[in-house]
Amino acid sequence: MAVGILIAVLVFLVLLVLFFIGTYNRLVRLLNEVKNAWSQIDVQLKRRHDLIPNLVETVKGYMQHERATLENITQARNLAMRPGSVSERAQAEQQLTQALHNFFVVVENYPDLKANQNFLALQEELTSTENRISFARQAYNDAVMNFNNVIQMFPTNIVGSMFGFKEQSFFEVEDVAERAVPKVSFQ
Amino acid sequence: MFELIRQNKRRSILLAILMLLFMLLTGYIIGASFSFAYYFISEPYAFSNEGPGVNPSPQQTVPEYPLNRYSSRTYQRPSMTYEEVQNFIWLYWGPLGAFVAFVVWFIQMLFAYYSGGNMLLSISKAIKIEKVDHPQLFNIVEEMKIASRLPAMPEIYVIDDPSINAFATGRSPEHSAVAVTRGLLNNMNRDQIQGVIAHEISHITHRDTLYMTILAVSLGTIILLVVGLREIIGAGIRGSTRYSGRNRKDAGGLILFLFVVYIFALLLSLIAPLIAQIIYFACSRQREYLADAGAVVFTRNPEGLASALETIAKRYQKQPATDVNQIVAPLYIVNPLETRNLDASSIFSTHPPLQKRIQILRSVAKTPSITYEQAWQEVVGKKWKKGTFTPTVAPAPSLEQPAPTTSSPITQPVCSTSLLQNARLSGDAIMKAQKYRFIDCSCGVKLKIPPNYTGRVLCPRCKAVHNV
Repeated sequence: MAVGILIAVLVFLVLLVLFFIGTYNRLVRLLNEVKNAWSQIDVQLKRRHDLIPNLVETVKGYMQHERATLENITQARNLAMRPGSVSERAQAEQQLTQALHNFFVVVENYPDLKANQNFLALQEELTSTENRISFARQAYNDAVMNFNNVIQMFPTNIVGSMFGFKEQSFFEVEDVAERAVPKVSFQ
Repeated sequence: MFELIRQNKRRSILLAILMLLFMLLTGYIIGASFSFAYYFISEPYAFSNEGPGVNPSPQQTVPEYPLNRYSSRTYQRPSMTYEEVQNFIWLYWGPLGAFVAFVVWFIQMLFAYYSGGNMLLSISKAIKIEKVDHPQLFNIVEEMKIASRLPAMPEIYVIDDPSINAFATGRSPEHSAVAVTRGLLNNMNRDQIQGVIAHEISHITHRDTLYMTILAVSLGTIILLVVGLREIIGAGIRGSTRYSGRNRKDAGGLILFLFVVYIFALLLSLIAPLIAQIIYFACSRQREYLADAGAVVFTRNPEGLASALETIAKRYQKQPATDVNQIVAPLYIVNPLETRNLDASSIFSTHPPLQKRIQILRSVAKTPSITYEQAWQEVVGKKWKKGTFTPTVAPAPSLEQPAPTTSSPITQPVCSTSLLQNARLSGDAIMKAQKYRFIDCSCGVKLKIPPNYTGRVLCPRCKAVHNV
């Protein structure tokens, strides 16, 4: 009888230890995923910075009248590449996104440009990069959600707090205007 | 939709276990039947009180011959009783059959695990492409790889076929591939391709390819076993009729019992593939909804996949699908074999009806506040939690060719009874009466332009420019 109880206690302890090890490793893996997702955003931003000189070079000849638009892009890019605090860089990236949006609206006026194979390829790359940036942010948020779920839910939250895992924060849209539901208005 | 994914995962694991158990049961019954056949053919006197070794009459000597040429032991007629034979069959031959079934399954599984994906790709004559061959497709796949946090970039294949289709394969997220047809690339815009790729990538992240491989191999094993079973039944019946006449008196009960087993086995051989297929296709249908939900999670743009499915549906009404094996059909985004069946689902469908899939995706697209699972509940008609709010469901898309009708929008039948939908339709009708113009943007937004406005309009969602 006593042996039975002893075995039961031992089995319970072994299971408990296994649970702790499993949860700890899972948390480490999820946290690494969060970090990796975060660095992915930087990778994609870098990709965007590399594309821009190419773009400006290609379209310069076609868009004599859009000097300002192109200069905006180059300026925003240089600003974004400068080392600075996270919020400063985020703001610069925001500007760059805006400048590129304006550029793509203006491009509609240049049918010659839209027939240029080189430009079309660049446009595809830029579109893809813009997508990648937003997908990378979204993936980061998904990773954060997975991690936070484990950290907050019972019983894994016990392991999380024991080993000092902290909740991660989501990537939020800074610009309130961008978050608002878009509306079309006519004069 | 994460809850839906979890719930379905549990259900599919259950179904997979069911399939494996069913396969083992088939193996067991085959083992048992085989033993009957074996006894009847090799030892016709096993169940009788006659024959050599039983009542050796003075004239009839027991045939004694060595078991094989190295053995000095002589053949001994097994002296087993009726019960002993039965126990032997159920406890030895049955499990042996199940074990053989498992071994056959395991060998096939190993083979399929390591080379099934490549085989599928080579069967469909898919050609691997690099970035220079199709930059856009490559970019889209990479975008989806980022969104889904796949550990490795899937290989990309193009199938030179005018039909519109795509599939994913690969044993794990690290070793995966997506294949799309040339027709898909030629007929779809970027958003639509993205929806399709997202659907395929979520098959990969859900490990559906592995899961469906397990099921397909189980199904294949069951079919293989059943073919064997039929042979054995035939042999057994021939054997039993040959000797039953002589032994009827002594072993009549046993022979009756054997016939019952044979009839059961025969029935099983007819039903087993059927049941296995039903399980297989049920799994497949569930995984399709899941992959659609995953595509929404990755792209955050349900309209892309919805319009892609619509394009496929419309296309297949005109043009029949290409030749594809029924077993690999579940791997495609739409079943190439049953695309004519757009609005109804049978237990033999590998995919849910396209119309329902589109309807769910459209509901998610129209009302941002509802999740895929809520829309799924509403459209499929299965409740999943009490008290959740009733989402506004998009009307079922009409996949029929639009009939030339001049009736005003108000008199057209409204598919959905939901209030918001009605309000939207009647609002549109009033605007139409006031000569508003409607522009459908490719991203799914309907722009409503006042009658005397001219110039350019920027789509509020996708920033595309429309000229009015």
